Amino acid sequence: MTNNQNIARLYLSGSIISWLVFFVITFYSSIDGGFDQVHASRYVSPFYRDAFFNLFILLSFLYFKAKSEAVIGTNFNDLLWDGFMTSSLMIVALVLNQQLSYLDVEFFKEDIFKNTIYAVNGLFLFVFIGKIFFVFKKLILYQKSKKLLFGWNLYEILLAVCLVISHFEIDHFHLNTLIFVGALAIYGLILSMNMNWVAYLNFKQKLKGALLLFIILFITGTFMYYLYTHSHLIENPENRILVNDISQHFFVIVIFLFIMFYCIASILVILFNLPTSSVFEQKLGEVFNFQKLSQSIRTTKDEREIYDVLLEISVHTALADGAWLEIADRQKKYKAFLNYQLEKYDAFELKKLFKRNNQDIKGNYQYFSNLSKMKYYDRLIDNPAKSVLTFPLYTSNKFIGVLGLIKHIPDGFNTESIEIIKSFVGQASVSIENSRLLNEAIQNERYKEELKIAKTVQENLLPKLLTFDKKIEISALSIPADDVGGDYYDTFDVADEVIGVIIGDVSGHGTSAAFNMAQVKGVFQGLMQQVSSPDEILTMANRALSNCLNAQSFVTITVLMIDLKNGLINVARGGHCPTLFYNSNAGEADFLNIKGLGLGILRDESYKDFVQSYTCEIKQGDQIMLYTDGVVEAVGSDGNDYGYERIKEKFQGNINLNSQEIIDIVKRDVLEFCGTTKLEDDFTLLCIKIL
Amino acid sequence: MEITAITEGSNYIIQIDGDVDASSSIYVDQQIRDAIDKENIDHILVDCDELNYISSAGLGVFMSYISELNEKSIKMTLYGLSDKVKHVFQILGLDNLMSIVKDKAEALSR
Repeated sequence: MTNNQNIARLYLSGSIISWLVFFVITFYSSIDGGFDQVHASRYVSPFYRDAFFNLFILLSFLYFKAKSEAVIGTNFNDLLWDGFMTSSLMIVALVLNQQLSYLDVEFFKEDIFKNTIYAVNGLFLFVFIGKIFFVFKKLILYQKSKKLLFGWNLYEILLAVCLVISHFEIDHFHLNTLIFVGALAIYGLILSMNMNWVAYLNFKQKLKGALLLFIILFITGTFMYYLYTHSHLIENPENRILVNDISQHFFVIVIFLFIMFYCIASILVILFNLPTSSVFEQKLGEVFNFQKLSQSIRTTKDEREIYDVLLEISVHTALADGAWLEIADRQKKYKAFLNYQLEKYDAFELKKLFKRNNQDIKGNYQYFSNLSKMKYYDRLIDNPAKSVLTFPLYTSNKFIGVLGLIKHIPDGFNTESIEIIKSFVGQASVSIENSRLLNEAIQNERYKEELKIAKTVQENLLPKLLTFDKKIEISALSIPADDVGGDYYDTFDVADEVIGVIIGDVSGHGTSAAFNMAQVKGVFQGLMQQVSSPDEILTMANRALSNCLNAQSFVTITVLMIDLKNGLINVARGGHCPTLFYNSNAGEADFLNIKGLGLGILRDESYKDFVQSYTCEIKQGDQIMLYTDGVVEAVGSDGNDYGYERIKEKFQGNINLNSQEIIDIVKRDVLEFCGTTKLEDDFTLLCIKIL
Repeated sequence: MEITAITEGSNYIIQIDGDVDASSSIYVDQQIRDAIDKENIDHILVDCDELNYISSAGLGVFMSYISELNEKSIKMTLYGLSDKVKHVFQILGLDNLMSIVKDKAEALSR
């Protein structure tokens, strides 16, 4: 903007210089007694005097134009105040200046002095009209269209033309000139019929604006009066002394007419708009409220904020005396209740009244304009409501609440508010639904993440490599279901040629199952190394886990110790599915029937009475199969369980295959039985072959 | 799953119809809780005639009340279990801690 500032400074300097030159010329021209003198010794052609005068006018207008264009932002009252200040300053300056000529000093009575005073007053006058002209320009062009802007620029060009004409038309009034000037004046008046800015002021601002304009009008009148009283056109010998007569300057006349007309028109428009300004303010208020609601929607994650804003702006817009808002949650159960200047009890009484009158406030908005005309109205005690508006909140056909507005007088609401509030309610409903969906989505994401983590933890708890020994072959298969379940198995190198095997089911959901499994693993890893007897292991594990499992959780485990050195196995069954044992001598497989109890069910010392160890000999060719309930409880296409018989059959029937092959056969058989490729529950199989 | 309860004197009879899984086990929990909290109840009977399936969550519910029932000297008897469901209780070892009988008559005679 400095370029603009430089140009403005240029104009300012130019206009000051022009005026000074003009002033000096005027001073000289008036030394020997003014206007009528033709042959004074220091006479200077009026042409030059007028030229510099007009140049001054041109440059000062250009200066004011440049200055006003540099300022952006329309605060109407500030603009008017600015104009008012300049005008007041100028008129005061003029008055003071004029007072000088009334002083009883000899020099001050001289013609020269009177001319200089007039010239200086002329300066004040042109500052005044330059400032006000561009203040009004800003007001007129407040809501400009292309057409209006073009029209105004044309006006400014024509004014410049007028200035030039005035220069050449001094003392000569051609008819054409008069017509041109008259037309230009009328054109200016037409342009000044743009007063849109008035509508944007509130009541107080309108009054203030009207007052300022009135004062400006008064100042304009004063300046015009001054010109008139010092004009050559009136019969006053005093005026003949003046070498310059601004009152006959066409440019000045046109501008003054413009300023006066705009002042009067604006004042009238303001005054006539005063009664309706409250409506406009209200409409603007509604727009701001909408903005406010949208804003709160975008920034809030909490539904409650939406309720508060909705209630506030609805009350404000409808000018309600009281209100209530009730919201249901997604299961249509009561969630929140807000009230404003209305007791909860009164709101419920109103709802009861409407219900008794078979009025459905959940279906559509309702306007009860006169409650006293309704049936059962007499049952209301001390209820302040005389007219009520209700709006249901809906999103995609789901009812989520009701907004009620009350007034203390019947017929208290105007129907215009209804439309606006309907749109507020619609907006709020959508955003409440969105907020709920968002929160649900976030929760789901969180839950999914949790499950993912739990699954990873569980997968890592299962052994990657099983114990290896030349006398034994162990294979395992564990297929987790989608949901985080809890099958657990592991093998241990307990001692020289003693191998421990564990299989179990840690039930629970999500992350708790994963944590439980980690605890189980920890407990058994410790115990398997320290304790040799399976029933003791279970007893100690029960003691350890009783403290950390939560109240409704339990764990089923089978502990198997295989002593390859002595050809023995030792088994304890902690409530788990019975172990399948193939005796190569008998050529038969059977379930080991061992008394047992799940861990975490009896959380005291009595547990040991419910478990026992079972020992039997093993030799080459014997096989053991361990499994979880996901195998035997797999539901077939006929609705029956896979069951214990089938697994025994498959195990027995394929005993000559290696352990991995046996497992694969059982798995395929189960899948075929279920008629699916995916199983519902965790599926774990261990097969142990004594070599 | 449907669950109903009636009181006959000092007996609180809970009837379960359908599958008890993770989501429906909370209703069973609630019923047992109500039974224990009710005055003058010394025997909780659970009619499992129409009980199809019970998950570990459901088993967990029953097992969690064992010690409290013992403390308050309230008996709990399950009856009418299908073979399949009874087998589940037996494998876990709960049949040693809870009374499982054939029918209501036998339950009432305890």
